[in-house]
Amino acid sequence: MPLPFSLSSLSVRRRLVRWASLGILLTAVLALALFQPFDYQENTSLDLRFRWRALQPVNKHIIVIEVDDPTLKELGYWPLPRDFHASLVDVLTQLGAKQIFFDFIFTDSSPDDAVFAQSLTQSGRVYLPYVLAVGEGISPKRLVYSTGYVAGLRDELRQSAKGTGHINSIRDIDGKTRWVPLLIRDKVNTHPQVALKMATDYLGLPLEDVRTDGQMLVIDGKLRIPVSKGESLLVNFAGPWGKTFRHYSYVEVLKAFRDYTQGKRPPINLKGFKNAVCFIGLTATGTTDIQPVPVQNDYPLVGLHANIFNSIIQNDYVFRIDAKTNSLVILVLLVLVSVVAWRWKENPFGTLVFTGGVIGVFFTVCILVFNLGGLWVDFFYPVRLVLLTYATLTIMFFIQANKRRELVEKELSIAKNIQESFLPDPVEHVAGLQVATEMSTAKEVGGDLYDFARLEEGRLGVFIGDVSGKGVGAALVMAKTITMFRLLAEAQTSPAQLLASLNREMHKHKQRVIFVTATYLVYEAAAQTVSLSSAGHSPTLWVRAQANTVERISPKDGMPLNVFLPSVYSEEKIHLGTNDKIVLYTDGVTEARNEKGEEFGSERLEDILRATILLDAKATLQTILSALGEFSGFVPQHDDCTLIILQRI
Amino acid sequence: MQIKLGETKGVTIVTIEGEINLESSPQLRKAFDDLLKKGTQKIMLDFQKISYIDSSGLATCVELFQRLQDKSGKLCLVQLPVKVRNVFEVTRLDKLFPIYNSQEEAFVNF
Repeated sequence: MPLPFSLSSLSVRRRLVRWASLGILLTAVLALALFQPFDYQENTSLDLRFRWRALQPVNKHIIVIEVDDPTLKELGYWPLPRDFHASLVDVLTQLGAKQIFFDFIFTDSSPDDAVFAQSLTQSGRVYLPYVLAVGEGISPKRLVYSTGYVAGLRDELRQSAKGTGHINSIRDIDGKTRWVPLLIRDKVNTHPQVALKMATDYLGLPLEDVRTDGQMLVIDGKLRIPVSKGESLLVNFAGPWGKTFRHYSYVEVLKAFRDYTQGKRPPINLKGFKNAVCFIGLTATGTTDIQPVPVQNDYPLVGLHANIFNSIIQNDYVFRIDAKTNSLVILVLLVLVSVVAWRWKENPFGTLVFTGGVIGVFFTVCILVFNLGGLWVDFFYPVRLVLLTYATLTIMFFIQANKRRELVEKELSIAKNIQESFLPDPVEHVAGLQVATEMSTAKEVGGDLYDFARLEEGRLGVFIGDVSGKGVGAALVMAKTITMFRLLAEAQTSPAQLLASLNREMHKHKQRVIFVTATYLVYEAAAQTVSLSSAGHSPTLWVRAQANTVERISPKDGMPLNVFLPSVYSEEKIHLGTNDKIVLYTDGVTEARNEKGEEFGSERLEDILRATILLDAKATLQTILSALGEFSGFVPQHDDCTLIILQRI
Repeated sequence: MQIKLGETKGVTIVTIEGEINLESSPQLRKAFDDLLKKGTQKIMLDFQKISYIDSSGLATCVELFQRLQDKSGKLCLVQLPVKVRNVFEVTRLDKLFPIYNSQEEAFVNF
């Protein structure tokens, strides 16, 4: 019966689901970017950019006149009587100032209003502000509407002023002023920001023809000001207070003019007021007109208007790139990090360094484009996403690699079982011999091998071998060698002939890189003799109980199997006395290392054999194993070890 | 393990330093591969600074020997430390490779 769906379609479906969810996730984060989340941090990063920016050039005609502490000390308390303002207007007008702006609220009436209004009218170049009621929570993203005045301007003064405008600004949630709405609408009028009004007058542009395309405010088809969706301007602060515009104290200007009229040399250069645009504001300690802005935590707001004015007439703005472009930047960064993370799957540290590098370069670029072009590119959200992507991919790859490793381990443990099945069943006694064997591999599977062949006429063949190399490759050759040995053992009873045949067989397969050292011996129970040949294998040890000696049996000729064809193998024959032992081993035993890197060595092995001459095969084997364990200590086994001890009993 | 290549009297001398074991054998094999691809015919392996060689190291040398023989090339080993020489003797591979005590001695026989 066919299955309702094929296995492959199941895996395709799973893959589809995986890619689809990845796509949805990516779309979600990019869509979120359109809403410009984490504005709080972005604002902080904007402040950094402002602070790390070089001082911007400002128009040299702009002058700030401060009602500072010395002014209040000499002229009395705030608010100053308006006839002082009237005097200042007269002075500045006489000195040839082009525009004069008072950043003070004139809502209430004052006995000096008539004098002040007269000066304003005579001067014809003074601008006055008012504050509109705009409600809570205004933002650069939305148009700002007014319901009336919070602090209006006395009609008398309004009529005498050259121009008026609002001085409302937007305070971000961290309390800083970054944005200013250029236009505020009520039911009847559209109110310009006062610096915009001054700037358009300065440039000789009428403020009647104002259009907007969502990114630019276009005045009279000539002046283009980049604005937010809500027609707010990101104020381009030229630098910290006192380091940009020219500054004078209110009282100093008045005194200098008095000196001048009395024929004294004034302490300040009054000629500098010719064609000046003067912003007069409060900077005295404790006045409410000082607030935090990006460049500085206590910035007199009169400077805000000076900066807006400067920005417009110099055509030098800072602006935030739109959300779509920001999303594109994010996409590019994410693709970059993902591709590298994918390529360097095996190297999470390298990917981390790369990701760090990407963030570093991105940061530098952000600072640079702000410095050079006034561009504000979002930094925090992209970086957050880049880090998240790095973490997600690294964890994903780690889990994947873990799964793969588990699979390999499972496979290896299966291989180990199969390899063990190639080894003979454990035997303790055969053909009048006591037999003790031990094999341990350095990895899951190994390249050592041994086998017993029960031959005709009560003879026993004992085969031991060691495949060069370790691990899976060696294990496969081990299986092949032992299989070939079993096929040939019955037909070839002479050890030398068997090894020669085995060598020939192996050469048929033309497999290079790997060779096998081996020893094959045949024990004849009746004659109690051992015939032995070796293919480049470690010497066989003969422990003679009677003579109390250990002898090495190492037939003269015999290269490893699979090295050279034809290869000649010589044979040695010995007579085994009662309790004599034959010890076969692979080089993993003699080359075992301790913590100092020393080898166990054949001398040590022979010493143990001499010391255990009275013990039986099993006890001897145990003694050697515990000596090996003690010698190696905590050094992991680096080669496969095999030991076979035969004892005539 | 470090491998240095040189050439004297038309013989490529490969000086190997350190341990030739399962981990370093592939690097050695790659070096031999490159030599064979270049058509090198006469190779001398200088083992003076070899501290240890295991069966995979031996197998790598045997493979080089076999491949050179197919191309009628020649390989010899010189300056084997006693311990390394013992390994060749035990495995009887001293009968496969011509082994000399010095480079000069080897040149005479190339």
